[in-house]
Amino acid sequence: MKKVSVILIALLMAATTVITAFAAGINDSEQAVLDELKKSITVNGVEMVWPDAYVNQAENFFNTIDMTEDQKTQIISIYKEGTDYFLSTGASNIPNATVAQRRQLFDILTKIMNVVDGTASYNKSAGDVSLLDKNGTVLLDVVPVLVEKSSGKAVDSDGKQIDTGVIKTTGANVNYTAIIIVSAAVAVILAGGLFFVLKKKKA
Amino acid sequence: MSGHEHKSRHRHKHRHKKSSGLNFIILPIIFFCATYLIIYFTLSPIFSPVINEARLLFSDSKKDYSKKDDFNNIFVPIEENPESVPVVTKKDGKQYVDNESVVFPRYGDCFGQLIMEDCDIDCKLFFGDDSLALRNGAGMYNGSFIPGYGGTTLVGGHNSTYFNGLKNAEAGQKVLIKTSYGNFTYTVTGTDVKKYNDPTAYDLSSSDKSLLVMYTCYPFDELGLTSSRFFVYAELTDGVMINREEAEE
Amino acid sequence: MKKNKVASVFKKIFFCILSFVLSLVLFALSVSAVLSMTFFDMNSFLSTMKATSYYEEKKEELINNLTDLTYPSGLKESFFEEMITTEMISGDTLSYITGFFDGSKDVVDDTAFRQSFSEALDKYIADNNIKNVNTKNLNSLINKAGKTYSKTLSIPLLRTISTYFHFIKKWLYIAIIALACSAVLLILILMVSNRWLHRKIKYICFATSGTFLSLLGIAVFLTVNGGISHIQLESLGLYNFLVHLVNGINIAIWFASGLFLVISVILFVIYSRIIKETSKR
Repeated sequence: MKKVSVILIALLMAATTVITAFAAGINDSEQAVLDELKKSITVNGVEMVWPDAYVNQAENFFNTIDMTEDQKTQIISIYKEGTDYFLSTGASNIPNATVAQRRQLFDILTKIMNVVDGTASYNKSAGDVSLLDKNGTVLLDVVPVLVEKSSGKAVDSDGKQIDTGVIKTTGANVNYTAIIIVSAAVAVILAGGLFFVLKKKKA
Repeated sequence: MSGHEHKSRHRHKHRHKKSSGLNFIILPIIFFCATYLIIYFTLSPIFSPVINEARLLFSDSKKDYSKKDDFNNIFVPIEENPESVPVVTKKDGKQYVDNESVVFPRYGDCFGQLIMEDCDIDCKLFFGDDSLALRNGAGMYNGSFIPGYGGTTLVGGHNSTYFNGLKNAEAGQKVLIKTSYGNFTYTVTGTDVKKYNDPTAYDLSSSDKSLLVMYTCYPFDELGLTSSRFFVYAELTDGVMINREEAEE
Repeated sequence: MKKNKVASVFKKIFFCILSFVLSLVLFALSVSAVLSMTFFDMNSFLSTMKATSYYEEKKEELINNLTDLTYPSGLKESFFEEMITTEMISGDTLSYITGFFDGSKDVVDDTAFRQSFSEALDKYIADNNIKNVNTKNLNSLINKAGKTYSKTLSIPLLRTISTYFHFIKKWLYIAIIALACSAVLLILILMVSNRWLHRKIKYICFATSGTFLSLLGIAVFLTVNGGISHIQLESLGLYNFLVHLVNGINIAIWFASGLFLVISVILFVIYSRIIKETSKR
């Protein structure tokens, strides 16, 4: 009876799943990408990292897919391309880069998305970037910004704190209506293209 | 014969060489190509900033404007018997929920129920905290972790509706979160009022400690827009954690 | 004889170049005329907004956005459904579009809205006997609601193209006149400098055919790509408006292209008849 109830529950859970089942949990490839995202970099003498919230979103997403070794390699390679380019701009943070530089970063992101039949789109009024799958479904909306490792804050060129959108003001933040779908390809997009984590400068 | 008549006859005798009909096709095509080449070389440097900006706005598919009033409900309450959830025993001797059986929620999914009897709170729990989620229950920030995963679970709700009862929150009270993969009990450790953009109000870095942070706008029952939030902090005191590693044989 | 042949070839090349320039001028004239009647015409803008129920869509978006903003304070959709009218939206939009076209301003004035909102709030507080009111937070709410109102009614793309728009608008009508005069002049040159009627018609036919193909290129490109239907905009009202506007431009270009096709065919028929008649003689 116990075995039957377990099977029934498993079937019921499977029935409520709208996407193909993937092995839950973080595999080695996904962990390697997460480790890469968590690395810090020194920008103009300040150690910067991605907000924990962004890395957590990636981890939550990886729990719904199975990343392959090949995808991991691609992600990290393209990730470094974005990293190297951002370092070469000399900007203190992504929002402080020039329009042309941000466009270049966006092009790198789009290149990654195209590899997996996805796209990226830019919300001009809100200043955030959306990653879309091939059907146009929004996977994620983020304001691309690094935070100081010590304070967890990000400031713009005027010294004003940039809101990373963790605590909602009144639920009016309509830009964060991302609908994440499960796709191994999307994992490549998310980790490799969305987060331009800056690798440590070689000593 | 007059000079005019002579000329006229001469003109009429002249057989006009008919232009090849192909000229009426080839030349216009050449004109077409040359026109666009000229446009490209003269105008594109001037308009390229606008074109580049506009290019960012286009996608391969049309945007879906259909109203999303419905949410996907993946919450299936577990039976009273906790043995109904598949578990694995790890080397430390402890039991963990088999992660193969966990359906990780996607943004917008209703994946649980949040109950705080002392504060008269009983609402749906959503993965994600957009306006649809907050109108129908409490929304878990998708940059935090689901109960049982470890780390911080950050949950927000409107102070005029589902989280109005948080104003009565005190240390020692219990919070029960029900999910399809287990029930989790948290004990409130304290409350605080902080600004919405104060990063010290919560800690989202991964840790072995399982924490619950609930928040809502502050002051309560007030008409206006405030930058303050009322935070309630709690620690996990009962519940089977999810196995985050590959399943053991 | 050889000298006459060379001169004849040079003449043909010269007239072909003139014909090409005429084609280019007619193309530019057509595009300028279409844009002046659509994109650069404020009345066309406003009539397109009306045709696409722009104000009704914006009202709905506003109600949603403002409800999201004020939901924690207890203000529901019904509060804004009574407060916000399409007349208010159309009035402020008209003022905004007029300001953009004449270059005076490109922001939505939220003064009237904030006044209405403030009065509605006062009435709501009185009717519901609400005691817990913080003036500072209330003002913050009104300010934020005003910004939401402005942001919802604004067309962000306008600011991006503002510099180009005003420059082109300033010179557009002068350009149309200049292009029209140039076209007439070129036709006159072709008519006067060619001895034979069939040749005059031939070179003008080349020009109109080239213009037809050039316009057809734009029309086909827009049609095949669905206009701008793949543009990603948050606002459905703005999306419908822009798609409709561009579709209108596309239709006008198809029409212009068709017109030049008809002219080219007529000229070709006349040319063929002249050749036939002289061949018979």
